[in-house]
Amino acid sequence: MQYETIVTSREDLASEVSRMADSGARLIMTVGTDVRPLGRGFEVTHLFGFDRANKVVGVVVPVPADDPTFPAVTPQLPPAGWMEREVYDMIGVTPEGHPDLRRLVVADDWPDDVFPLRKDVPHNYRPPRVENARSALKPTPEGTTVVPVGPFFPTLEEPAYFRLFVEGEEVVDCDYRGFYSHRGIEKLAEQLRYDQIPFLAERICGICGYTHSTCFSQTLERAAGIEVPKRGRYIRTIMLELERIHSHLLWLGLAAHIVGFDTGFMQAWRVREPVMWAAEALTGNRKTYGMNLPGGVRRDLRPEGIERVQQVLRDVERESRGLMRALERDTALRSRLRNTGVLTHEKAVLWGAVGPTARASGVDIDVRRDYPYAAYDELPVNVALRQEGDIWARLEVRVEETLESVRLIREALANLPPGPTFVEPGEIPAGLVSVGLVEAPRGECCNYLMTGEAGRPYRWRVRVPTYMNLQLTPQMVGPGTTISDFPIIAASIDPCFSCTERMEIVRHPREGRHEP
Amino acid sequence: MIASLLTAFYNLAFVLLFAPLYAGINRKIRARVHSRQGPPVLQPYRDILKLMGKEDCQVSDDPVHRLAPYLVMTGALAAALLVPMGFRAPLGFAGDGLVLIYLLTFSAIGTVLAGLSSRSPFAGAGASREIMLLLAVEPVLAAAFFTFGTRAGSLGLAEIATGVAQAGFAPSLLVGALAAFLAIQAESAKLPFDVAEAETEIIGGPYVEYSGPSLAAFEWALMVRRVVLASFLVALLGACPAGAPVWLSALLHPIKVLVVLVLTELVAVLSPRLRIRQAIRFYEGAGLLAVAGLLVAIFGF
Repeated sequence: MQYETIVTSREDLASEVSRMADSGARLIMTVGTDVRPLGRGFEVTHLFGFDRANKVVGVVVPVPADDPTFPAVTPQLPPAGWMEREVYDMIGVTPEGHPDLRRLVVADDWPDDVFPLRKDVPHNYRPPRVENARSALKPTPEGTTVVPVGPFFPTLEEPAYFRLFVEGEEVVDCDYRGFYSHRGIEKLAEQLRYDQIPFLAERICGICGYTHSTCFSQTLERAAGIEVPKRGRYIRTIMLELERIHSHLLWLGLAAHIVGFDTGFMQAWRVREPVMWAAEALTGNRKTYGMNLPGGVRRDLRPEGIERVQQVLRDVERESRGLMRALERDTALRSRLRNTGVLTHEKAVLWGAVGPTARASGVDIDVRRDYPYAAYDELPVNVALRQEGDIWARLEVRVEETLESVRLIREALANLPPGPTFVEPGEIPAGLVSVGLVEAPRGECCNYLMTGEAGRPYRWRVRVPTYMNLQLTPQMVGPGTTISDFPIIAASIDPCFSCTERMEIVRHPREGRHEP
Repeated sequence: MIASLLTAFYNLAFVLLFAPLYAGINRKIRARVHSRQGPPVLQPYRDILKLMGKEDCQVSDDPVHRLAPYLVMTGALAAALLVPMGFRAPLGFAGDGLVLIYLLTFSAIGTVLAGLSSRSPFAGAGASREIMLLLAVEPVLAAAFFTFGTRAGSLGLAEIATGVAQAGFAPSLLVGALAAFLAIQAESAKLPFDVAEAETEIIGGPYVEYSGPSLAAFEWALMVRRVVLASFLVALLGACPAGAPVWLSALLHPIKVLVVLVLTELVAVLSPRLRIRQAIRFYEGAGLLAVAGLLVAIFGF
C-alpha cells in the first residue's frame, strides 16, 4: 500500500476534499494530532482511500495553536460526522460548520476545557466529580413517544443508548449516545513501548482482537520498513481468518437469538466452539492469542494444532452449509430479515459503509483484495457480494465469507512456507507517519501512526469498522420499521461497541492519581 | 355435591401443582433441540420458590398493577373448574364452553392491565400487542369450539366429549382441531407468537416491571393457563378411547395434556418470532380456515 500526503490550507480544504471525492476516493478516517511540542500547532488529517489503486492519501490541514478551528467537511461527506466530533472532543480543534457538535466520546461529566489527547494532559488525569451530568439529547419529535433501547438492553452485550422516536409501533427517528466504554486506549498507548502495544491493541476487542494487534504491528512495520518473514505473514493470515470464522458464527447465533430463534442461536454457537478449541491448540489461547509483535509473530504454530484445525475446518464447512440450508428453508425467518433494514447502494457509498454491511449493498470493497497485507497477495480472496442491501443479504455475505475463510486457511496451511516467523525490528526513528488497513470480520479497520521518541508512538489512532457502520445505522431505519425490527437492524452491522469506543480496563485506577 | 367438591379440588390441585412440572419437561425438550443439557425438570418449582423469597419492587401504587398477576391466576383457575380433566367438570353445565372462553380472555386481560398500569414504554407496547393478538386469536378459538359443538349438538364440554365420539369422525373436526391448536399457541404466549413479551425486543413487555412474588405469581399463572388451554383442547377432542371408565380417562388426561404441550413447545422451538402484524395476518388466515370448518360442520360433514 502506498501512502501519500498532501498538505493544504484551511481555505483550500473544501476544494481539496471535493477533488478527492470526485476522483472516487473514500473517506477512511479523520485524525487530529497535537503537534505543538514539535513546534507546530495542531494537525487534522483526512485519509482518503483509492481502493482500486492500493493507495491512501492523507490531506493534512495545519491548524495554528492560537486559532484551533478548521472548516468541517461533514456537510460534504457525512461519514466525517463522528470523526470530526471526536477531533473536537479529544484535541479541542473545532470543526466549524459541523451540523451536530454534541459530545461523542468523552463522558457527560468530563470538563469542557480538558481535551484528553492534547500532549499537556497527563494520561492518568482524573477530572473532579460532577453530579447530575446529562447527555445532550435530540429533542423528541412532535407526536412521538420515546422507547429507550439501552443503555442496558437484553440484546446489547455492551452499553449503548438508542432512543427510538416511535408512533405506535413504527420507528420514526432515533438518537444515539454511546462511548460509555471509552477508556482512552490511544492515550495509554503513548506511554507504552512498541513491543507492548500489540498486547494492548489485542484487548481493544473481545472478538476481533487479533485484527487490532495485526493492524498496529503492520502499521509500524510499514512506517519503519520492516520486512516480516513469509512464514510470519502466513501465520497472521491463518489466525485472522480463524477469527473471522468464529466472529461470523457468533453473529449468526446472536442474530437468530434476536429474532427469537434460539435453536439457530445454540446450533451456531455449537458449531463455533470447536473453532475456539482449534485456536487454543494452535496458539495456546482460545481468544486473545498474544502472538503479534512488530516484526512478525512470537510463536510458531503448534503441529498438533494444525491437524486439529484441519479437522475443525471440515466440520465447520459441513455444519455451516447445513445451518444455512436450514435457515434458507425457514420462511418465517426469511420474512423477518428480507427487506428489513435496507441500506441502498447509494447510501452505503455516501455514508462510507464498510465490511459485510457494505458488500451486502453491492459496494465491492474488501481490504484483503484492495490493499493486500499479510499473505493475501499470494492467497487471493473471492469477495462475497450481494445487491439487496437488507439483513438477509448481510447474513448471506457472512455465511459465504465463513466458507471462503475455510478455503483460505486450508490454502495457507498447504502452502505454509518454512523459515523464521519473526525479525527484530531494531531502532525505529521518530517522526515517521504511516497508515495501516486490515479487514476485520466487521469490515475495514484503520490505524494511523506517528512514531515518537524512545520507542513510543507520538500519536496512534484506531478507527474500527463499527465506527463507520454504527454511524449510518439510522439510515437503515426506513418507513415502516417497527420496534420489533430495530434490535435486529442494529445488530445486523455486527456492532462492537468496545472496539468503537476503544475500551481498556485499567486495573489500578487510583494509583498515580493526578489533579490538574 | 361431594363429588363436585372433590373434582374441583382435584382440578385445582392438578393445574397448580403439575403446571411447573410440564414447564420443566418442556424446558428440557427445548434444551435438547438446542443441543444443550438443560436445567433439571424440577427447575420451575425452584424458580417459583426463589422468586417468592425475593423483594417485591413495586413501581406503581395502582391496585390494578398489584392485582394483575392474581387476575391472570384467578381467571385461569376458574377456567380450570370448567374443564373436564378425566372426571366430569366440577362446575360443568350446558354451555360451559362459552364461559370457559370468556374466563380465558379474562385471564389474558390481566396481562394487558399489568402492561397498561406499569407506565413503562415496553410494558405499554406489550399490552397493546397483547390486545391486538387477543382480538385476532379469540375468534379462531371460538370458531373451532363451535365446530366441535355443532358436531356434538351441544355447547357443554361434557356433552361435546361424548357427542363427538358418538357422531364419529368428520373432516370439519380436523380443521377445528388444527384451528384450536394454532389458537392455543398464541393464547399460551409461545413462539412464534410471544410478541407481547418478546424479551429481545421489548424486554418481556407487561412483565418488565414485576419482580419477586408478583413475578412468581405471573409465571405460575402463565404455566397454569397453558395447562388449562391444553386441557381444553383435550376435552374438545373428546373421550378417547370412547366409553373408557373414569379411572382410565383420569389417568390418560395428564398424558394427553403433555402431548399437546410438547407439540406446542416443538412448534415454538423451531420458529423465530413474528412481527405483530405478521401474527395478526396469520390469525386472519387461521380464522378464515376455522370459519370454513364451522360451515362445513353445520352442513353435517
